[in-house]
Amino acid sequence: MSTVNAESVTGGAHVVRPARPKVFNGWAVTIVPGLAFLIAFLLVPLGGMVVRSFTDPGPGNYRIFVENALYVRVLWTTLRTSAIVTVATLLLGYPYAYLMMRSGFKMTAVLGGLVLVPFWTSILVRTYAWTVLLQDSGVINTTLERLGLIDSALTLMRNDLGVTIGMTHILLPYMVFPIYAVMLRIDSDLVPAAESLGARPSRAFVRVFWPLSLPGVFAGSLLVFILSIGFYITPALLGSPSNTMYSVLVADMVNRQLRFGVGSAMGVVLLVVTLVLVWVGTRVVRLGDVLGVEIGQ
Amino acid sequence: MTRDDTLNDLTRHLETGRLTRREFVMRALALGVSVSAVGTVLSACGGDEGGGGGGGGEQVTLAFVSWGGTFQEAQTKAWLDPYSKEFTNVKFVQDEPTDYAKIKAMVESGNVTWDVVDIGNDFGLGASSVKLCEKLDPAVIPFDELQPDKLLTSGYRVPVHVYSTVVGYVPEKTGGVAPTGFADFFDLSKFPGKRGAYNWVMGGLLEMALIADGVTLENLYPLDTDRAYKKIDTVKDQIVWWDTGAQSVQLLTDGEVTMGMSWNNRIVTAKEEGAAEDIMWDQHIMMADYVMIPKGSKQVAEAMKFIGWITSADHAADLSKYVASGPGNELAIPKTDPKYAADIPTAHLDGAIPQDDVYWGENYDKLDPDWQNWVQA
Repeated sequence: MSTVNAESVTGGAHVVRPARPKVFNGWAVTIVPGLAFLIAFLLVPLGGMVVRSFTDPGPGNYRIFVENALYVRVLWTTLRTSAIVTVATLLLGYPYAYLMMRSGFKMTAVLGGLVLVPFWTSILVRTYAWTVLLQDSGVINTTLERLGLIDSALTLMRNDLGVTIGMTHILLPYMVFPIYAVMLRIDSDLVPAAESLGARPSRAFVRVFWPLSLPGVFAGSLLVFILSIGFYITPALLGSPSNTMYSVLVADMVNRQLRFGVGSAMGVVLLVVTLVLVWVGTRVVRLGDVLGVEIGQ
Repeated sequence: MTRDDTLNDLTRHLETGRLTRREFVMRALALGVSVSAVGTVLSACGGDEGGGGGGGGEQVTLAFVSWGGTFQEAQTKAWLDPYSKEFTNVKFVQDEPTDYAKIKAMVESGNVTWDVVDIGNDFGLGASSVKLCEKLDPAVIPFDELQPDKLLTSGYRVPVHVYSTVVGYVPEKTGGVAPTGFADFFDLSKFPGKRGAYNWVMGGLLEMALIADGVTLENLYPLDTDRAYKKIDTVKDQIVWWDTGAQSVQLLTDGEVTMGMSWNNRIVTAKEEGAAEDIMWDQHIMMADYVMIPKGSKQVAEAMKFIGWITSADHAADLSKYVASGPGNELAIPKTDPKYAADIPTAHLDGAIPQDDVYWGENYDKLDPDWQNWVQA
């Protein structure tokens, strides 16, 4: 991509852009530790996993996907759950980030703190806390029963609802902060400008602000979706067995059955499926926008 | 690892008899150690052909690994601390939690840093896990006393903590009536209300269902899983599934269920904290935690000695001072701490249904996906 020069990127428009830095300058050395780290602790083990999936004991490891419907079904459950959670965090997170952006300094700090503080509590503790609220004999149900609003307990957990509530709570910061960061960079004169040209506030928002905030939306969604795929304990505690996540099966294969080869194959399948989904996603929106950087076409 | 570390390891192996002098010389020279340096080490070892490890002044560090939490603390107080007091040259470092995949990875990479590991009954029997264990020495460990008819040792693991998967019940929800067998767990007309159950194929529910359905102990294995699933299906919509021990007692304590599977020591702890639930001891699935030595441990001889000590008739019951745990050693049962004497499976052997670890070792791979398919449906 470095072969694309500035002019072709901007389509030859009369925009003055700084020339690309030379390939090597002194600062480039600072990338070496990070790169070495990634190679040693990400690429090498990942490569090892791929090799293992085909050699320990052989490519037959992948047969489990055709021999038993379980693995594909649970993979589907996992992707579906992740998609639901991504949408839920977006619905909550976008207005929240917008409010943070529009608030004064103090209010922004308070709002940001409210999202961040639970971040410092262990996931397990937060998940159990939700149990206390949501279970049949929990705070919500007993309160509603005492108020006479319900006769028998509402099923608020051990189903999709419980899983969605618990995971959304944990993942909300990953949606709020990327969106907030992008919103801050949007020129605050643009919306008033649109309005001064006759756009109603709703139209100015939809046509001007929303499109400009999309990179944050995509970055947050990608982050939340990918983190969701690896969830394990929250769906187990707040869901039912039908909410079993893929990582549970991988852990069972590796930890209990000690079949590292099959576990690797399961990991490779998950990785490939995720990459394909991200690739499809980047057909819809440019990867550069998602990552918040400029890359060639 | 530096060359000196490696040389130290070799020296230790020489001292504990795992390497002969000849092997030691060959390996040390391969490391690039000079001949005179090798000679110095050998003369320092005084030509002792491997009797060195043990009671003398030489420092030994054993890495002990268990499941963490209050259980590992109890093991520390019952066994590790007193052992270090008696054998002042032995120190312990601890790690948690036990992780079978880690054991396998360590053994395969040849870099074994764990010496004594507390494992569940699902490890150390099948061929794939036995090859990760050091063979235990009957000269050091009292195999005959370790209830061989109920707890399967395989020669590669020995029981240290006998417990049971039990049915706990909430008297307030059963009208004060106590259930008297697994059949009551599946009887919704006699005991209406939800049931807590372990979402794991090997958790004990399959055995409970078959016993409740009238299968005798002699005919329990191999499990007739179709029959078991059919029996559980009669109450499936009333089951609240749990994945962790903490959940299992929480369901009872919060009154989410009328009756639920849990472990005896968990319920005893909950009762000590004021929870109003009881254990049904008429029938229970008895099992044990075992200890093993990962293959390639650098302290096999010392680890063996420690395991022999904690499984001896003198010390096996010491754990019961701190948790409701039965000793692995039969001769130690009378020495169980009176505080928990009534709360442990070894006090209720009439109703004990030992889980057949050999059967599970051979069939787990097949039964687990079946369970997943059934439980998720």
